Amino acid sequence: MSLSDQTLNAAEREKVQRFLATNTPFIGPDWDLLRDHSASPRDACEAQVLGGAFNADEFDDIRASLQATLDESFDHTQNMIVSPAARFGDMTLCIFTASGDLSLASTRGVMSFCANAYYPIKYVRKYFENDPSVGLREGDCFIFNDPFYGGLHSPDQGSFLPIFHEGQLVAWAGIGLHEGENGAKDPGGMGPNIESPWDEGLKMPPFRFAENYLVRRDIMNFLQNSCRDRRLMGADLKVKLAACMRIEKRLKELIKEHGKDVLVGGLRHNIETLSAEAQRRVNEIPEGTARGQIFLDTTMREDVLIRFHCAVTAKGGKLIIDMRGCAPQFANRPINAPYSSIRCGVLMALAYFIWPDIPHTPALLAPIEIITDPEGLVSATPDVPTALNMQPLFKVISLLHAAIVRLTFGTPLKYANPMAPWFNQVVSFMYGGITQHTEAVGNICGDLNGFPGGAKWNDDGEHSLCPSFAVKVDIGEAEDVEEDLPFVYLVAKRLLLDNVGFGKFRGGGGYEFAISNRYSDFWGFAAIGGGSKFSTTPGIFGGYGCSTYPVCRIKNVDVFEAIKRAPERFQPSMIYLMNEQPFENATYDTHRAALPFEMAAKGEVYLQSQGAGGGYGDVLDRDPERVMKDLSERVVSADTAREIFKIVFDEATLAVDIAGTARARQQERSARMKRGIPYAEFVKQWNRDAPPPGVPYFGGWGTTDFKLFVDGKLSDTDRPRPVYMPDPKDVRIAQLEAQLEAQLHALGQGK
Amino acid sequence: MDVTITEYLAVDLDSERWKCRSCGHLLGSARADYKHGLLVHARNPAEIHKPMLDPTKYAYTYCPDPNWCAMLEFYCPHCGTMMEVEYTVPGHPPICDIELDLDDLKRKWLKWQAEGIDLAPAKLAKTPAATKPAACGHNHGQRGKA
Ligand SMILES: [Zn+2]
Repeated sequence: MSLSDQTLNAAEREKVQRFLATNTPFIGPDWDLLRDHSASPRDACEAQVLGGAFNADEFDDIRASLQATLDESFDHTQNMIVSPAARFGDMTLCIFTASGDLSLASTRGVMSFCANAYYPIKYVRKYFENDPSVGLREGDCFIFNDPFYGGLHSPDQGSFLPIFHEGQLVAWAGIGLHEGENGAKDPGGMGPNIESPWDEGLKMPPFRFAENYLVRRDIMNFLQNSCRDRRLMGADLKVKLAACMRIEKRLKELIKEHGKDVLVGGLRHNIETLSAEAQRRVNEIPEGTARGQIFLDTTMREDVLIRFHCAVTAKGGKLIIDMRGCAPQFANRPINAPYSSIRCGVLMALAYFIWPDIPHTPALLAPIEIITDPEGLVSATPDVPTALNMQPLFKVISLLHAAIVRLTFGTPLKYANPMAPWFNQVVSFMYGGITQHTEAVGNICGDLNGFPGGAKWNDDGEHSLCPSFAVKVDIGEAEDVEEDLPFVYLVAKRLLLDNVGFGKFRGGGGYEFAISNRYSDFWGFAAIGGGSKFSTTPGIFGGYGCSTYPVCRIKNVDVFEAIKRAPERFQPSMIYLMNEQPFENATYDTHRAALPFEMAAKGEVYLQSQGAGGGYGDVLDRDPERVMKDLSERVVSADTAREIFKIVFDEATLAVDIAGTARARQQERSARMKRGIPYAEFVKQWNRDAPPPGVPYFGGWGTTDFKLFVDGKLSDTDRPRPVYMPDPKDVRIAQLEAQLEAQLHALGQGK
Repeated sequence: MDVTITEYLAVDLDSERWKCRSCGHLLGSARADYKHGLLVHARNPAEIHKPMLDPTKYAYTYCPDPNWCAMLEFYCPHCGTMMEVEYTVPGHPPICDIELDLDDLKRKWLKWQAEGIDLAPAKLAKTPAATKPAACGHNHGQRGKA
């Protein structure tokens, strides 16, 4: 503007300013808003109420009423919604201050859906409210799903509605949920095949889809035409609006009861008191640093080793979460996570595992600082796909959870049972196709929610209880699924033997399941997990972690016909079916837990097992009777009882030989002392400057001083560009061509 | 004074040394990584996570790939208690997972003692009653609800 300043008069300058202000060619994400999770300053009304005399008990009443409103609306919505995931509970309802800060959320569901929703609301306020082409009116409702505008990943959708009182904006109602199908490259809104942000289907920055409390038919038509599942998209627009309207109705009743000012003050008070409480709790954590790392073994298309490292430092009233030293971004793989997604993981770890006793809202993040590399797998840019950013997010939950347990275990001020990390992989099948009801669908099975729990300091972990990212959701009923969808569960919710994190207290076990398309001529499955080569969930304080989990397939068979012919050949067990291979001419194989969408003929079988929660403490400290109970319940095998827990017992009666067990355990302790090498000596022979040759390693190598490796090679820059992976099919073709060339050469027919 | 840090580790604040909670032996300076005072063994993952699927038939068997995944077991040199298991990449230096600020730890423990807080290991704190501090410092019209 310096030229204009010199050559234009005041009126001309004003005209230029007005032109520039109203003719921005592209607004784009607001990076400051995205990164800044602190509450806006008190607005005039809040300042007036909270700056004067107020009744904290009345605020308490308001908070209780709002909580009841949100939980009641959650139940209503869960019964109306079409999205299968939301019917299992993967949803959140919440209420915001006029400025857009989240005041309170429903107790059930998955808070991540609304944890970043301050951002699209503040975005609307900043860019659209005063824009005459958009504006903001009573009865408006907005929608968003773009991860760079407050969404988590593209299959999730959020909506929010402004609440006015006598023309003044006083609050916002919001809902967020996993819708699934959104017109992405493969059915269900996410999948291994996604290679660019433009493969991810609908990408919605916040925009208005309803006016005057009515869903706009033209917009609904557009959105329905943009995805495979028209019923889901259409119906759920209305359900999201209805959910927000219900919260609005109740809020207006509360205004009638308490007055507008008290209500506005109460909404703000929730945020300030929770922030203060989080700060108080952080102040009590002994200062120091806890570190951890977890490795993910897939990009979803190929086996690679990706490091997630986290150093958590309590210092000066701050909890600093340093994620530097993670892998770079992948240009054409969907596992990149925007900063906002990592922040969700941080909030989930705090709310679900560290401070489960207080309301779960982003106000808990007040004393939290998150440091990432400027661009990387945990601070992705909009140029890369992010549909499966749960992969980094779930690792952050485990890393932060374990770090805080390490920092606070011995302190008197804890608000949850210290425990080993919860399982952290995505085990479930995604599906898509035409159902027996002739509907086009694409979504994910509720098995996703069946993560086993970590072992606690004083008890075993729970079997397949709930995911690490939500504490009050469901895995759904097989019968309900079979009624809606054309596949059946051949094996359902059966605990896999020896699939627990071993320890003094063992992690929870995961269940195996097998599904097969029975009724559809046009059907397929995909899977989006990792951890088939590297254990992703560690134990703690001497406990072991989970195993590694593939997808198993039995193709070129109609299992229903095979069972009809020879029922005795079927057993509901993955281990039996895969090892015994009872169906003739079928092909059996295992695949990394990320399976790109593929067609599944009638009767072909897809099998998986949920993982295991981390174990707690030394296996030799486990009460022998607990081992025998696990043995009798088929949680562990007799071999495991003998070889890992070192129990001497009678296999027929399960009676423990107490003296024999004590002797066996003492022998094992002596054996450890014999085979263990003093640390200084060990690291001399163990430590290497680089990852093992042949391992495609991505991320920092080292403990505090990282050297960055990309595809196993030392990077010449600490800010590498997004890594572009070759198509695995091209890689395979090149291998086969090389083999062919070598054989032709041997025959004297080479080039 | 012993201060509990993990299931198996305490710090003796007087000598500033790590201590095994199973056998009571002192292990090394608490201003350094506790792992420095322990024995280490790189365990073959297949011994703990046995293959469930036939390895002659399948590439992925529920057993971690030993070329990618190593398991470091850390033992007390005096009693053989396994204090930690670290899943790592072969050749990666062990992680220092706890680094204490001993001076702050001393300050906090003296403060808690003075406040009469029960310092029994892993004792859960009750949610303090004061979860609603009035932001302005006022708390008018308190009706004394539970
Ligand atoms: Zn010891």
